[in-house]
Amino acid sequence: MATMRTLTSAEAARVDRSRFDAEKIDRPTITFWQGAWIRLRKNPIAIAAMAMLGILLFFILFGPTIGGENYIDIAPSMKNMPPDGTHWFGTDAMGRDLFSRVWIGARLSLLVALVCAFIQIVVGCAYGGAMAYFGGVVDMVMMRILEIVISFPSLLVTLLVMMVVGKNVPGLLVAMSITSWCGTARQMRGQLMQLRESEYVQAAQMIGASPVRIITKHLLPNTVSILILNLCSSIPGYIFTEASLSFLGMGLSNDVISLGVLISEGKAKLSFYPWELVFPTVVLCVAVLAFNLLGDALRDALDPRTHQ
Amino acid sequence: MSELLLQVKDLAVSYHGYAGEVQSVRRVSFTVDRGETLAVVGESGCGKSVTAKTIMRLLQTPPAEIKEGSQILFDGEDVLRFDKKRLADYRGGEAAIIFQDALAALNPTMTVGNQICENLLHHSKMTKKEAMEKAVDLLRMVGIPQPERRVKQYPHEFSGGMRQRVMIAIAFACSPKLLIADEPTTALDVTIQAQIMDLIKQWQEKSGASVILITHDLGVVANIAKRIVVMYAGKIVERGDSRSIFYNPKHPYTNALLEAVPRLDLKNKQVLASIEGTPPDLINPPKGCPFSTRCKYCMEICCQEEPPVIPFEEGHEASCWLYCLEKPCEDAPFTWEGRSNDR
Amino acid sequence: MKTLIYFARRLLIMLLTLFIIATATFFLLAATPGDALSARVERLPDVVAERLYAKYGLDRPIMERYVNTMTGLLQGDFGDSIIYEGQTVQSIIREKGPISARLGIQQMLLGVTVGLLLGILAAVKKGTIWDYLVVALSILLISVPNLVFALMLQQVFAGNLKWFPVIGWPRENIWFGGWEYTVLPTLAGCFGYIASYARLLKASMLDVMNQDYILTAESKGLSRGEVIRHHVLRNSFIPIVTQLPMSVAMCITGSFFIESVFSIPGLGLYYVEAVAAQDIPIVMGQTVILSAIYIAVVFLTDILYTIVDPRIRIAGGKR
Repeated sequence: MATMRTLTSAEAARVDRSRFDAEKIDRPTITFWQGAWIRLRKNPIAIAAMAMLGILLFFILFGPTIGGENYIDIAPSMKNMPPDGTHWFGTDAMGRDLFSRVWIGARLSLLVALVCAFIQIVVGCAYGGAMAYFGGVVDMVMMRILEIVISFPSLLVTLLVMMVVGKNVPGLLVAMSITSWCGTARQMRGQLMQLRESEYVQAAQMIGASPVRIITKHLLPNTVSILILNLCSSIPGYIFTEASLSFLGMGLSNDVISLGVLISEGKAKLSFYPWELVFPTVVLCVAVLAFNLLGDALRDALDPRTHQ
Repeated sequence: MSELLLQVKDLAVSYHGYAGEVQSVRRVSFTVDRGETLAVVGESGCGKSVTAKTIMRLLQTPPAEIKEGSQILFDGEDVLRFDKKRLADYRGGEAAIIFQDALAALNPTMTVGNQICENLLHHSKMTKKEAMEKAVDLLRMVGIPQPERRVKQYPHEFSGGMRQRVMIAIAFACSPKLLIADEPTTALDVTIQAQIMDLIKQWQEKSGASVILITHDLGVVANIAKRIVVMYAGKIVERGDSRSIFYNPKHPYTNALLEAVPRLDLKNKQVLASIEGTPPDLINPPKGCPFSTRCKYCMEICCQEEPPVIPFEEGHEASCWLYCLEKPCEDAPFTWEGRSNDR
Repeated sequence: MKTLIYFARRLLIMLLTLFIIATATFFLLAATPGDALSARVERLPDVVAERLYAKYGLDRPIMERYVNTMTGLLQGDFGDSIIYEGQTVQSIIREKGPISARLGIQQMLLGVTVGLLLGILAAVKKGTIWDYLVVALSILLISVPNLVFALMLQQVFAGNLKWFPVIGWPRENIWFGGWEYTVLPTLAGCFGYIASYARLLKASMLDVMNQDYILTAESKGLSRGEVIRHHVLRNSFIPIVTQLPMSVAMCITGSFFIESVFSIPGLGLYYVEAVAAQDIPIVMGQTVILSAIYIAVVFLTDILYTIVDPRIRIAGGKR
């Protein structure tokens, strides 16, 4: 056994305990959103997805200006030109510049998708919130209605509605939004009900927190993340649906330019002038890929259980 | 055959997270004799559960990392070096574990009977039918009424205490030499707690197995453990037989823990003590004694250097600088009695 | 008894839903400008036109037509097609149904099997190159619409390499013959399933692997393979099983695009044509029948839920 050391008086001096704050937590506290943002920033995939979206946005806004070629007037001498120095993506069957058309089309397709996603969130929130707020009979009746609407096969409904309201942009918005909100509404209702029953919300009510505080501090952070995910993951679906409807000849009529219209115009000429299909398709896929990647990254970042 | 069943030597485990390396267990050593009950006591986050899972080799590596130089000798063999085949015999056959939350620890989509049989079938040459009969016996043994009917039920059909009994039946199934009970009663009512502890104690007396009881509740330990190890911030701060720990604690942390146990003989007149502060952040553990930031008797040296292990009589040890003073300090309740006087 | 009441309630809701769908479809079609005959009667004398309208009952007031259509539906009589001479909904479904069904079944079998295998691979080999490959593959497959796959496959394997016919579908031996026609449409349609099932199963398996009962299973000495087979898979298949019927339902309408690319004479193609031509009896009939299948499938999902997860009982009816 080693000889035991005896402490000097300096070593044995008692420490003033106020020197350490016993309840101090060493790591800085970060809010939910800060944490989510930090995790998102650390994820290279999220950065890549945001960069892709940024580039897309840039071209959607400025592409036609940069290209500077005519994309509206028919130019019979320029029909089906392959990509070259003037027409970077080539020209279509009517001699119109495809580079500009693709970005103009992407502009409309994305706008339609964003508006539809927004409608889905707003209607879903309002409906789900109303179910959770009123509860009882109102909840039951609204739930039955929701169950019925949710069991409509959505593509059939969209096709039928497109027929009735016409092949224009407002018609497309209505057709794609008619059943879309159901999932969001059900999710919102479930989440709000669960939160209302949760002990921390009851505890907050107990200590007299105002409804405003409960909504902003407890209900919102816990539902906004779901809604952001919902938004991000439903946008690709709308982009797809728009394109597919045009493809079936049931989408927007070809006096407007959307990715779907361009793809359905290009499909017939795939063997001879492949670029007329390839460019709009690639832009569509890149946009969808970016949203999917961002959605995945957001899912990881917004899940507080992955907090470290 | 030696008296020693399990020997944990210099065990160190770290977790690698976003924020850095969390040193959950920092060089812990202890032994368990055959037929003995050892209690490992400490607050949440002090490394007890990680130690338990490491002994069962249940840690997921990564994110966890068992540091070089760690050894866990079971009957003289190093558990950390077991190959797949040896490990399959060891887990469930020679060593078994009971978890805190029995509902989470039982597979929700498998009948209780099948979950017990799984263990039996894996470690013996029984037929399915024999195993099921044995499962019924086991359920009866752990005090579950109508075991013939209950084996066919699912975990969610059992109450909390009953589920923990099922867990115990699974653990007992192959008569292991070592049972690790990781906070087996924490999630249960007080009356049920006592029943579960009795059950483990009876089984142990009958089978002669060793038990490592992991708990944060010194009250649970009192009449079951022979020896106690007190852990704090990933280190053992004091160890000894339960009599000396209870009546003659040497470490300020143990003392504080004991003051926090309600006592029946004081008839509600006692003011329950609490320990101020929280355990240190194990990403950057404090330089000196881990308890220094919360210790009432903290001295300059405590913040600088790790305290030495001070041996007392009968294997009682504590790591504390207080016993290196020239003479006992007046305001501390600790006697120096039993300190080996070898200077 | 409770179960019986539950079933009765569900059945009632299903019938109500169908009724509402039929009504909505009818009025949507009625509200559409023009009608199925307007193109045909343009150059006919008025007398003939009137006779034609009378033949299909299109000259009656709308409420009377509605009542007639609905009573027809109740008796299983959807009426004759207006644009396909001599066809009824039944004959079209009898003729086209198997074509769409075979395409759907082949797509799902291939897609779900491959998807599940990839999902298991990704979860078991988590953090390795295999995991990243599966993740990358599935996100790519999800981000490309299946009609694009269809066009690409058609161009490369039928157009350039000439390994398979460009368009068409086996005419004889509807269920097993002419596989060369079915390869490309099946492939084009199965990518979506591969991607979504691989992702779903991987996420679900990782979730289950973090549960305490997996530790218990390991503490019994079971090998990793046994733990995965006996404990992880069953529990992580719960979301899969509940997703499957929805996929079946989706695949009824999901093949519309593929049928269109490969000119497969299936239900989808006829439905789109019928909608475009406002062939009310056909659209009504198909909508109601497809919706009925869809609703039945959703109901089946709930029953499956109770079978795979013993914690859920039918009487409770709640998750």
